[in-house]
Amino acid sequence: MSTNNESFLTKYIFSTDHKVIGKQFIWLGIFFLFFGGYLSLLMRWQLAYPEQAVPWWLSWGIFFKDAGGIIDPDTYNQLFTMHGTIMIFWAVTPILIGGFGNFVIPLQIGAPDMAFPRLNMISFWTWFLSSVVLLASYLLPQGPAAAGWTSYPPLSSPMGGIPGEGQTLWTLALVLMGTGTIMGAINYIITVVRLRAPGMTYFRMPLTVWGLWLTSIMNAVFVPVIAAGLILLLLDRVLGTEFFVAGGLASGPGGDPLLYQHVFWIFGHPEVYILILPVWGIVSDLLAVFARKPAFGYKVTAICMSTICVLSSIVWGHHMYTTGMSPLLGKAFMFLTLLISIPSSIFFLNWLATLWKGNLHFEPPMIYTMGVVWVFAIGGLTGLYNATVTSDIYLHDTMFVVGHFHFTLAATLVLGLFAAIHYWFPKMFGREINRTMANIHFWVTFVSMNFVFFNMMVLGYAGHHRRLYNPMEFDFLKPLLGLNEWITWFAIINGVIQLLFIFNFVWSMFKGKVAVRNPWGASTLEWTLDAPLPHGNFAQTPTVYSRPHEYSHPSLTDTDWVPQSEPIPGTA
Amino acid sequence: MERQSKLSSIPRVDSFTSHLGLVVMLGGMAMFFITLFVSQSILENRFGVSYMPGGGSTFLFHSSMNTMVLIVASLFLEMGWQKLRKDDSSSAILYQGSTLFASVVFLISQVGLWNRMISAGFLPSTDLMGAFFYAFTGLHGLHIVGAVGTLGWLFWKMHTIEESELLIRWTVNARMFVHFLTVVWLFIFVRLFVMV
Repeated sequence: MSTNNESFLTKYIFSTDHKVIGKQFIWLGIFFLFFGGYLSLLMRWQLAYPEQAVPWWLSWGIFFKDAGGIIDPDTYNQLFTMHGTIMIFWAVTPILIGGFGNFVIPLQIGAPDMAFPRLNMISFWTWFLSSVVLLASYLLPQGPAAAGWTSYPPLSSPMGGIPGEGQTLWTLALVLMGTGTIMGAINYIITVVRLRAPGMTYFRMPLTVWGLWLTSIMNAVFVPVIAAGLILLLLDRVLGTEFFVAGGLASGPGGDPLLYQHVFWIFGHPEVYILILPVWGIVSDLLAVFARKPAFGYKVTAICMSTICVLSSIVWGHHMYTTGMSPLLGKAFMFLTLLISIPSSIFFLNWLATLWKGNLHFEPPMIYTMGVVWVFAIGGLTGLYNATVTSDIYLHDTMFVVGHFHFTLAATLVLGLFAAIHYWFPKMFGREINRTMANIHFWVTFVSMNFVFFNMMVLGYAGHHRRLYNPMEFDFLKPLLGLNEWITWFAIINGVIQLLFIFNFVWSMFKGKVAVRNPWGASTLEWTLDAPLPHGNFAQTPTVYSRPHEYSHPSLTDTDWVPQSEPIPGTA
Repeated sequence: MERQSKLSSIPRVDSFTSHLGLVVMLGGMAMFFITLFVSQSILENRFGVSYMPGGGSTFLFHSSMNTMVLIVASLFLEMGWQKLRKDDSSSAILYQGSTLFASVVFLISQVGLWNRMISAGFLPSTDLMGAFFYAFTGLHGLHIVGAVGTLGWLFWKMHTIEESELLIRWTVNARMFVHFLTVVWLFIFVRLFVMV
């Protein structure tokens, strides 16, 4: 089905091939992963060495020259705002959902491409445009957005909030990004519903596809909600409306900043699951591949993931316990939030049961996957304190919350995306990624990120507020300076080791060992194809006979796996 | 899976898949407008209802005419669709063109309404009603611009291609989109002009 009459532009730039678009998303995401990560190191420097000049090797000798190398409070606000925004919306989302969603979904369900290839291409370029708008805010005299990644009014409103157009461009960039996300979501949903190969029933789909599919449904439902909120915010900034401006800041009766918080978190809490569902799916699949066992409770895991999607849409209020909501409402949100721990615990136990008595192969994708299991456990358990009203009132807006969501989101997602990159690298580029470098990268990343995020929780428990420019202004935080310094140095180690990853990635693309068709002995459909994969994927539409993890089936003799497109010997 | 796309080797999807994609998109748009409606209700509940100049009645006739125009556009599109199904392509083109014309008239009339509002000193920054009036009508108008583009493209295609199956598919999609926007407008009209 491949055609040779494609020009360079249609093949590599404005391609409609889901695999090329997937790679475009991954490159875009990797760029922002490094950019957003770099911003966090600058932030960490200020917390460890308040109002001391950033060393040349961190400022590259070009930033903060005007202030004698010192990060001023406004810049600090911009750093944490853009770090959060970029990591969530422009790094992790494009890699996991845009990149692997595109690359993996059609291949794993036996489809020739996405249902709407042109829409897919437009989705990427809308993302790209949103990236340009976001980065353009750095060129403005007053710099980029500075109201935090949540951009609550009145901080984000022009009345008494962040001056300059950076915040406006931030809002516009998010609206554009959301538009691209919805385009992608439509594509993923319809592709899964309509383009599955014969025999690929819903309960024969790999859990990766389940995760990405559920994520897309949530995106289609909730991204329009935040889009509406952001457009109202944009109107506040551009046309002088007062949807979210209240009290003395408003010229008339005004609006309600809390309304923005509700709208934001109606999207924002599902967003957590939007991001993490693909990783849950990937982990569920990879544990089975590298334990050489069927995924324990496959159907139950899929049902639990679906249940969490529903529950996640009615728990947004747990982000707002301290806004003065009625205690009864707080209790209701607490109860619903804690309810999520039931399906979460079930599929987490399914992961452990998949590992139990498995024939474990500690290949690079597997060690990253095991890392996810660990950090997600820590993130999940510490979430209970934030879900409970009484403890959250104490911990709210402290570094404990920062540590918790960095375990749940940053660590889980980053390790998850590394697992995915190392797993599908041979299929993407036809070469193996260097295992020694991958192992070194994993261990240094894993140890350093655990140190950083765990100790953030310690800081928070001691009362260290988040988004604090200079903790040394408070006597009770002075004894924590040493811990802040340690965290910063481990964060720097974590940042530096990512250079090894990018070196390994690029080096292996060109110099890595040529990969065999199925280096992991996996049974999902993408591994039945030789790299480089043609546009159109399958020469003949495959027929699917079994679930995705029929490893070590008793009737198999020569190997311990059989592709989904072949019947298991001895079965009907 | 019946026709090869120009840009790639990937076969086009069938009509049902195409319609389903549009349904998901319209679902997203519905969430978008529902959020706006709910936001308006919450703020009104909190701060009380504010009014347009003249309590809205001054502009009721103008906005009612706009509503009629949009309903007529939807009706024309529906009639064109019926003609297309009966293979009466010349009548279908006529109705299609009429839909396009009515949609453009709606947009022009909306701009006129905005001008009258602005002349009366009713601006987005006046109060919450002003803010929601311009937000609703502006965002709906942007979608109508998209619909006009789609209808224009379809009108052109009706003259240039013979493949009736494709034309029917595109018309069904355009039909869903335009009808959806008409329904949204009816809600906006009732909420902004009738309920106050």
